[in-house]
Amino acid sequence: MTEATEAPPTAARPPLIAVDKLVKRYGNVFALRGVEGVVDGKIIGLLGPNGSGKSTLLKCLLGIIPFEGSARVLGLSSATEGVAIRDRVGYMPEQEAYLSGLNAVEQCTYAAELSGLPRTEAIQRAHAALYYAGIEDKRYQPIDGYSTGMKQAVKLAQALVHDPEILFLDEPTNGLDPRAREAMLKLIMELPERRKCAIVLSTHLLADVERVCDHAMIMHQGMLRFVGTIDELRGARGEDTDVIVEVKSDAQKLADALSAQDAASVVFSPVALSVALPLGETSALVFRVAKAVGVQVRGVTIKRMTMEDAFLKVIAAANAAAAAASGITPSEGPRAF
Amino acid sequence: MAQTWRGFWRYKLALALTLLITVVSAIVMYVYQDRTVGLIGAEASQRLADAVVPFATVTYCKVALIVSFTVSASAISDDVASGAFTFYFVRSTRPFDYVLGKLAGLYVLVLPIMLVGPLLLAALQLALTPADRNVLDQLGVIPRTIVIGMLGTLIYSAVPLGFSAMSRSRMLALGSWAVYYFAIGMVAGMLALFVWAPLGALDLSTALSQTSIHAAGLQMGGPFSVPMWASIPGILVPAAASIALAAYRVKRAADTGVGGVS
Repeated sequence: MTEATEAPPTAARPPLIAVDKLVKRYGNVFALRGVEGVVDGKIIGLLGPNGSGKSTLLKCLLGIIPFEGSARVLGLSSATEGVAIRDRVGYMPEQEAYLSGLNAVEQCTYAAELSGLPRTEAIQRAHAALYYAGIEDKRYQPIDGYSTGMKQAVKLAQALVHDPEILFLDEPTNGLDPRAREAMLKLIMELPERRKCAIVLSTHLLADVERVCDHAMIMHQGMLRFVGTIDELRGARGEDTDVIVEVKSDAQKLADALSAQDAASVVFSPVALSVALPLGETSALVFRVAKAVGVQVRGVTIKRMTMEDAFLKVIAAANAAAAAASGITPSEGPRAF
Repeated sequence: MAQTWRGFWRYKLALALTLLITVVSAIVMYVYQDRTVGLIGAEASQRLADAVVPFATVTYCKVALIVSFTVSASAISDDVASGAFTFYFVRSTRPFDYVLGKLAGLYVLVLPIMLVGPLLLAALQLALTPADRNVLDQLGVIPRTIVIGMLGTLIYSAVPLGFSAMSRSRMLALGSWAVYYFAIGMVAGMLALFVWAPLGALDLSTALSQTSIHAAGLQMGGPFSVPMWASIPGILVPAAASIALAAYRVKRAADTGVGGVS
């Protein structure tokens, strides 16, 4: 089981999400094949190629669809307490979810009432949620005439209106132009502080996750392949084997000296070089060698993978593991993403 | 309901027609009660006046049928198409709550047509009752009308709701409801005429009108007289089957089709 937490869950505060051997099949087709993991964090990116099981996982967690195995959200069982979970969780679905002919205020008010709020409070919350989502001045216009960006904002407001503890956002930036996308990401980033809720952001846009998330979950072929912080995903697992070194001058001199210590180095400017530290060594080696050869070090930066590289590495590892298990040579890489 | 109230053709037209039928029926009742005594005798004119409520029920059925086409028979398929289905099920709404809510909403919409109009006529019938007749006997028309009105409301809310759950396509839902109502009704009429009168209860409006006529104590006889033991199941069985079908289809759809896939 993979586990990643900022503050370890206690008996008083269960983890946001805990799944164990979660299986979902439609006939003979497996959508989820034994998902396992404990997830916590403020903004968690749920990554995966199309068809990897992200939306199915969210629906299982919400208790909307039946499944095998165990899933708990905020300590509640998705299998038996789906209604209670949906009262405490907001879900912004990928597809349109409106009642035709209603305006944004009516829509959000109704959503709040369905979540059990009295009408007066529901109206107040609807106005507040729409204000927060940036639909203040057009909230009395029918949603049918809204732009894609405004519709996404209304969906976000609907998901927020009952003050949820967790928000599941399924592809919230889909179909948005750059400006609207930027606005949506800004809203998402501010949510944990302003509304005191955690967010699970399901997307296939790595840039969105890199921009707003502190944790990531990677789904591939119906299984959870990675759970952890973004730093962990990008290679900063305490090993830090690749570093970028900035020097005052003589980068080549330092590179030669480091190479003699089994630290493969590549100079890419007179004042900068990339160093692959040998197993068991840390960046202290760079300083030792630099001092010995009389080169002044001005900075050492841990070289991390890009999100895309990190993602592809996780997927490739998953493919290799699957191939090894089945005795088949792995394919060239993950499916188009 | 709020959506239904918007625009004239979906529902307001039906209310206008209901009002019109009630006014015309009230005039007919008044004429039978008060003006035909001299021509056909007191007893015959009274029987004609008593028959106004049951026969008006047949006309109210036509209005309820209009509402079934404008609202009821596409209630669920419209929700699936518009994404409202997802809107409901990502919240704490369960499929059972949804079906019950839809049924209650449609019931409330059809109720003014199938119950309020007939009830006004029944009240008028009581008011026009001649002094020489036993008023207590006549009071029975009120609960009778309420029961018939509620059964009629059940038919025109529950059965179209069942058809609306059969397909994701609005046109298919409306088409299958139309085929069921008209084609089965026609076949049932033929079967009642040529094979066995109780088979006429397969036609929803016949089942209701015959129940109403029997309840009013107006025996017609002949091949179109469907006995009550057939007409009441002719109402309740399709209604129950439709509710069960809607619940099953909604549960299935909610289990598989909510929220889309990414």
